[in-house]
Amino acid sequence: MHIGHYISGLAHAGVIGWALWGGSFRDDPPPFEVSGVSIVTTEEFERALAAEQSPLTATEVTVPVAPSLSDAAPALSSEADETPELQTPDSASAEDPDSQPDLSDITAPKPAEVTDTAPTLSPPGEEMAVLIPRDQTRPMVRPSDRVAPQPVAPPPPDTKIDEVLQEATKPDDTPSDNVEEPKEETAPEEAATEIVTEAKEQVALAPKASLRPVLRPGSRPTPRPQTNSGSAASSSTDAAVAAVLGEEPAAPSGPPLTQGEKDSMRISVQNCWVVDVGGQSSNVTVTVRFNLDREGKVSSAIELLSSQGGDDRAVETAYQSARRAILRCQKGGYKLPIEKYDHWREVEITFNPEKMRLK
Amino acid sequence: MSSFTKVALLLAGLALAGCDNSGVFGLDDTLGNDAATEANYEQGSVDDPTSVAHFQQVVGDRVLFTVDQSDLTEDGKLVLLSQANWLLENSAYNAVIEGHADEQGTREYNLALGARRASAVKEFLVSRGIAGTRLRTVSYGKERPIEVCSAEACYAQNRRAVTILQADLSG
Amino acid sequence: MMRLLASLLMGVMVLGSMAMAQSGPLRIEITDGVVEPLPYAVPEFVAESSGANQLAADLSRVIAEDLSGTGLFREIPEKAHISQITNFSSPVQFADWKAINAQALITGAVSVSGNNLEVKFRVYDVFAGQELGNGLRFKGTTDGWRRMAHKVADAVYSRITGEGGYFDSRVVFVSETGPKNDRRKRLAIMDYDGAGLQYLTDSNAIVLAPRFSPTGDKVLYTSYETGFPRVFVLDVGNVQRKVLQDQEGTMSFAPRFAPDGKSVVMSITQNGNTDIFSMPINGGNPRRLTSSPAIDTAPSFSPDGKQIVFESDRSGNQQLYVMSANGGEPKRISFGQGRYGTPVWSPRGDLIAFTKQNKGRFHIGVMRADGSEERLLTASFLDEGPTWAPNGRVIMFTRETQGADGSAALYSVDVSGRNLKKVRVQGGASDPAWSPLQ
Repeated sequence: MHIGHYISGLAHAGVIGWALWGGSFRDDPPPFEVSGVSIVTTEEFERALAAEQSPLTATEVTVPVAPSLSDAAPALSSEADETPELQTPDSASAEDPDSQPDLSDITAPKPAEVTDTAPTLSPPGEEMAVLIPRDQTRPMVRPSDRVAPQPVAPPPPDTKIDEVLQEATKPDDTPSDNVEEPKEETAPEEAATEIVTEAKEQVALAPKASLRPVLRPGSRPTPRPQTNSGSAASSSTDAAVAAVLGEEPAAPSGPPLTQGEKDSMRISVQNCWVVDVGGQSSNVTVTVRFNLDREGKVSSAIELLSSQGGDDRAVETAYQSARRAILRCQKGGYKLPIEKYDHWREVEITFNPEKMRLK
Repeated sequence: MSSFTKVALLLAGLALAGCDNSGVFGLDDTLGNDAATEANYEQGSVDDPTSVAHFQQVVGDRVLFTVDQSDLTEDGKLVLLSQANWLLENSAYNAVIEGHADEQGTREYNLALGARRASAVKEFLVSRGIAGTRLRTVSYGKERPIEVCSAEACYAQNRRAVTILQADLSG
Repeated sequence: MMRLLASLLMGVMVLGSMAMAQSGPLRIEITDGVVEPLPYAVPEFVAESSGANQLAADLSRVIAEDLSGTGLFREIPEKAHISQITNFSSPVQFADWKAINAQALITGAVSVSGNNLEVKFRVYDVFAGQELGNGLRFKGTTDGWRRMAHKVADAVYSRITGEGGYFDSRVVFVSETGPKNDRRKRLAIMDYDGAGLQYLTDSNAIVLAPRFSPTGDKVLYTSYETGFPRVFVLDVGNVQRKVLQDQEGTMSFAPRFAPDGKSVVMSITQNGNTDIFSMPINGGNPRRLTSSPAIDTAPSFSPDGKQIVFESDRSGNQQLYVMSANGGEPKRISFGQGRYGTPVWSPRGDLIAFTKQNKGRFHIGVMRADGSEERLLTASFLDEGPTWAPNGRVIMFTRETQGADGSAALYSVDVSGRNLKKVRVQGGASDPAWSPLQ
């Protein structure tokens, strides 16, 4: 009896279902299957769209139309003679997870929910109840859209977002040898020091107190007397530091850059270095070199000197990201002491995202 | 816990009312049956000891399990004993045993867990003399909860194996 | 502190050696950066034929939604633009885009003739003042404009991130209606962003956990159509379906294709015991891969097809194991607290996504294929069933809310744990499976 009902029900449902939806399941081949895709070189675009004036080398080649998107690569190669091609889609398949840099010197994330924490914040307890702690004794990492080396509390509403923290200039603050125009107050965009995933957020919940103000030793170019710039080092290192710094360079290039000066350059660039932590490029360390002119502006191409880890595309992406960081943050020129120009005329920067990957 | 108590009480009741002569309470049963016959119950109603409704409501068609477990509880075994007796008496029925899980678990695992539960019930019934060919099992995992709250009170009712009777067409 | 000192000292030493060498480059190592969306501008594509205005606007919007939706990019709104792109071939005024801090600029043009649609675009690295790759042109039909937008966005994404895209992809899932104790389920398919929803089955029988074939034209799923859970295979094009495994007295579920598309792994339950089997997609006898009295389920192939990760409670509770694709002794890879289920190997091969249950909460997490570097990405009352975007960058999963009115929805999260968001789907939805790139 029941089986009869089942059979009948199924049959009816089948018929009704077919009547209702059968028609909507026509196998419409997606239009793209037959669509053409072609590579259009700069020249061809110029020619096709502004036929009368073609600023670039005009080669009389008709635009080839490849049969489908997946044929884009062949189409590229066939045109390789006239089109220097950056895209090499084939290389994307050459993944090599094993070649990723060794992470052994990084503390392995605990298997439990709570993972690494910002250096300036004490870590949340390992197995936290989901309830909000009655009194907030632990500093919390505030979830933020932005993750940066130093935690940045949300800026005051009026503040203009900028890459660097810039207090409204006060006369007293201005070093005598470095006169600045009074400036609008800017602050870096709000940032957390680590990626606050939902899993971590569950532990942190909404912090009752905002983050501590930015703490960044040596983050601003604090001119120090060159002779004791190493004084921050412990006594055991004092001798070495003194010995090193004691070397008076005979060249007209002036004394070497202080750590503070180097840090200032480093921080300027790192604030513009956007790391795609989930991407393959975050497995790549690149070293680039470039020249600066006397105003601290990049005056040469930024060359890729070396790279470690990742496939070609990942390296290329890592390089582009490094290049953008250097170019974006130069603004009006990196602030480096002109009397030491010979020491920074040429710069090599290594971008190592290893630490970022685990945030 | 109260559900277990209820089941146990029901069970006690049915043992008096529903079992046949082969049962432990054979004598009482006979009396009970006689009483029922005289009490001209409507055929197929709960009072009809051969009815599906009777099996569901008086014998008890389901057993409950503890979290993540497919071992039968003592209460569960009592219910299944009555089920076995009923099935022996009413051989025109076959049964499909449905295994279920609560919502706290991944879909695939719960399907497998429900299958374990259904299988545990089937094995018990077979051990009590029901032919394995009369019993089939199916698992619904967490797809068919009967209680919908997200609390242990509901979860406990959802971790279940239900014996669904089917008239044996072949017989 | 010691590290700070050490680096300080090292810096000083380098500095010193440089001083002694008289010259030589200033060397700096940067290990800290920022993680933030990259600002980009996509001025509305230029309409190059009459009647292309609307499509040009729509295409630009979908491209921007794709890019911004990743959380890796942030669009600079059009009203902030200084320059306007009125001619696709005119030189770009990089200074104007630098001024609004656009790091990438996407320009494009659209022309329509009849049903034919042509879209071309270029991507610029604004601060480098150069084009990323060369201009590309896509041709298709006006009906397929959304896919064309996705293709453009994929190309842009790929040029900036150096990785494959995922916008021109689809998701098959279980559409849900009705109350919790009488839920109706049917298979549905849609674009990854929720557009173009279509149903593949009716809701007369419970259906569960669909999985795409490697080419995206077939779907494996579990259906109660026969009264018992059984693995079916369905042709996405014509929605013809057939049962794959229907041995009397068994049930089968948790199917998944091998990367070559020729065979299928699944769980088969017999006498209450669930093991993993493999069988050819065209039918034939299932071959046993595990044989423990435990629950072995949720198998998933490594992308090279050589290994299978699955869950088993052989240790007493659910944990993850890896074995050869031919079976053999499995190796346990999960050792954290709690229970681990539904492992899915990333298409990149490096990570395995999973569902974790711990202390009454559910998480979606990832670990390396050897079980190291476990990271939890989400936490809620009930998260389960991760599926990878075709580029291995994003994970979609089911999130179910608590209580009598609880319902299921699809969510996605970046593999870094950022950008958690709900996928736009009408009604309840569960068990997503991401297609390969189309």
